Amino acid sequence: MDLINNLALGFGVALTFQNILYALIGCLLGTLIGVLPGIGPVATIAMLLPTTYALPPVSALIMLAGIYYGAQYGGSTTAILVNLPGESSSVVTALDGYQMARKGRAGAALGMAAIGSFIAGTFSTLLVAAFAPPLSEAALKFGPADYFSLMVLGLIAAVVLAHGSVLKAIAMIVLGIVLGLVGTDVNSGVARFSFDTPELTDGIGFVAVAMGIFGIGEILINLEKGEAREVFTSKVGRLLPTLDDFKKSAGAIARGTGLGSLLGILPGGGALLASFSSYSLEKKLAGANADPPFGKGNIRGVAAPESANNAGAQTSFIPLLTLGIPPNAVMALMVGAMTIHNIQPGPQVITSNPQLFWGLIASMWVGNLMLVILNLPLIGMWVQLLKIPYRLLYPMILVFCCIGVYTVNNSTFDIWIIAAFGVIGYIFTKLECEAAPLLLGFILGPMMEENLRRAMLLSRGDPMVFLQRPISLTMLVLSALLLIVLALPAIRKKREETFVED
Amino acid sequence: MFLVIGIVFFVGAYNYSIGTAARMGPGYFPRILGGLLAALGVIVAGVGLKNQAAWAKTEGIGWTWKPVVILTVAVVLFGLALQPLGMITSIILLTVISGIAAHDKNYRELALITVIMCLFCSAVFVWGLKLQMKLFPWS
Repeated sequence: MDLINNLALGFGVALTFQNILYALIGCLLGTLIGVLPGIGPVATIAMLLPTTYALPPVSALIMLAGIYYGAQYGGSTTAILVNLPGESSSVVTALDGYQMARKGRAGAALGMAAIGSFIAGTFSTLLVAAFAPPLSEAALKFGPADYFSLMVLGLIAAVVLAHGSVLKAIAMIVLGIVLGLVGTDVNSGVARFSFDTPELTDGIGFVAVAMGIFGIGEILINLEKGEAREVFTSKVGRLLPTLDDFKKSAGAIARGTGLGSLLGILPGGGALLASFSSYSLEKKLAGANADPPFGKGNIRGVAAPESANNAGAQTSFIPLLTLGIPPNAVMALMVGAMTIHNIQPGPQVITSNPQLFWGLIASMWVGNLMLVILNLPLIGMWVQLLKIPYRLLYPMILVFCCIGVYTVNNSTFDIWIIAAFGVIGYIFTKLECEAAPLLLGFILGPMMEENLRRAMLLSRGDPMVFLQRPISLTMLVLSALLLIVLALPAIRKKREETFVED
Repeated sequence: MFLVIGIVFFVGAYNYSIGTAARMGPGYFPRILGGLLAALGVIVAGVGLKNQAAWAKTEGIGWTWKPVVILTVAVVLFGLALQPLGMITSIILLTVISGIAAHDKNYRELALITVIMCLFCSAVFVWGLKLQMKLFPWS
């Protein structure tokens, strides 16, 4: 009964006129930006973060959540119509979705993506509502040592899921942590690595780093690639999938939802892993005699990953809301947003701020519903957007990034930071180092240090404390196992295969 | 290629370790990480050296510095201009300079987009969200 009461409270918050409006604006803006090729959810949220400053915290978070779903859905639209996935989690959608579009069935693919996402969203929202309270209660028992070990596990998991070289991913995480340490030390008040620059004593702004790497860095990469786009604008076709499509996709949606919800909870995973693995699962299940074959426009290849990535997107809120630990880069941005609004994410949010907590959960469902209602009729408009040439697009993105980052602190210094991180992001992409782990390390770094120090203080400098506490020990053993598994050649190959899905 | 990043990491870590060696308190955590990073840098560089022959064959990856330089200059100028010269001036600087980086330049479109951005940003950020920013050099 608690669940229903809580959800009622949540819907009470989410369904106020004001919050519905913000969810709507969020979804719209998110889709609007997300649909632009080459801009993923991280860049979208980073760019739109400043628009939420003026709002009350609940509305701001609801709007940001809306932006997130919108951006994700927008990414799928681009993937299907242009074969240019705006974000890594819709890469697999592009495989079959684009083929469907070429056969003139873009409408059915888009429709199925929306419907699958909605079903997955509904289910996983319920899941979040059911599991978040007990989990956050459990989280209250966590000591500093446990937290530290949990973050280690999270970071290692992020390595597993990063593309490319394991070594480089680890190096990126460590670099992220080090960058996160710039600024005044909380315990002693000593300015670290500030090189006598007053602006650096406050630390490097998280938003600035994210925008630099994911905003400007991406622009640089896109500018280099030049333009090669083929948009299916004229023949989107009817939006409603046929009965046959539904029959084929029902199982795929169900499996995608289940798998996605599960994988979303894992640290480091979220939507990306969910969509990749559910696609592989469908492909395996369908076997060689699928009709049409996977990769040639099978609707199950659209329905499954789309459901999975949406389910994963929802459930990745669980670690954030219960433990205060962001499982991926998007959630790391959410932490940034919450901090700006003076909310310390963690297990106490649910008790100290129930309106916010349940309101956010209820708004997840509202946001999903809105995506379906909004986007199906508006697809024509999004398609028009796809026609804007990139040479007009990128100066606009630049302006938004610059003004956005300036408004965070009213500091010109942050603008120089994004310029610097834009170049750094470009170099990293060139060297095949993924930036997402860096961002995660950047956010988790200071938290890790604090918990490490607290744990060491409590244990009077005895490092064995990490092995004596059962929770902490479990996490560390899991991390060690993950690392060992990574080192095994067989698994390594398999992992590479998963990410180079043809 | 890998060597470059290895050195970057290594030098970075070296810097950090020195800065904190004197104070064990605040420097403890960074020191461990600095060491870790340096070690990783060496390994990455080592792997890179081993594979260098293979990389040379594929000619590595093309680096196009022109847009990088142009965009960086544009953004830095924006930062310099924003407070003394106001938002409108800065946006014009930013869009026009960054526009040079495009493959297919079209100056009329660029001018149009500049005007649109000026109007839009004034409307949304200054009048809509009431952010503290001046529009013109003289305001």
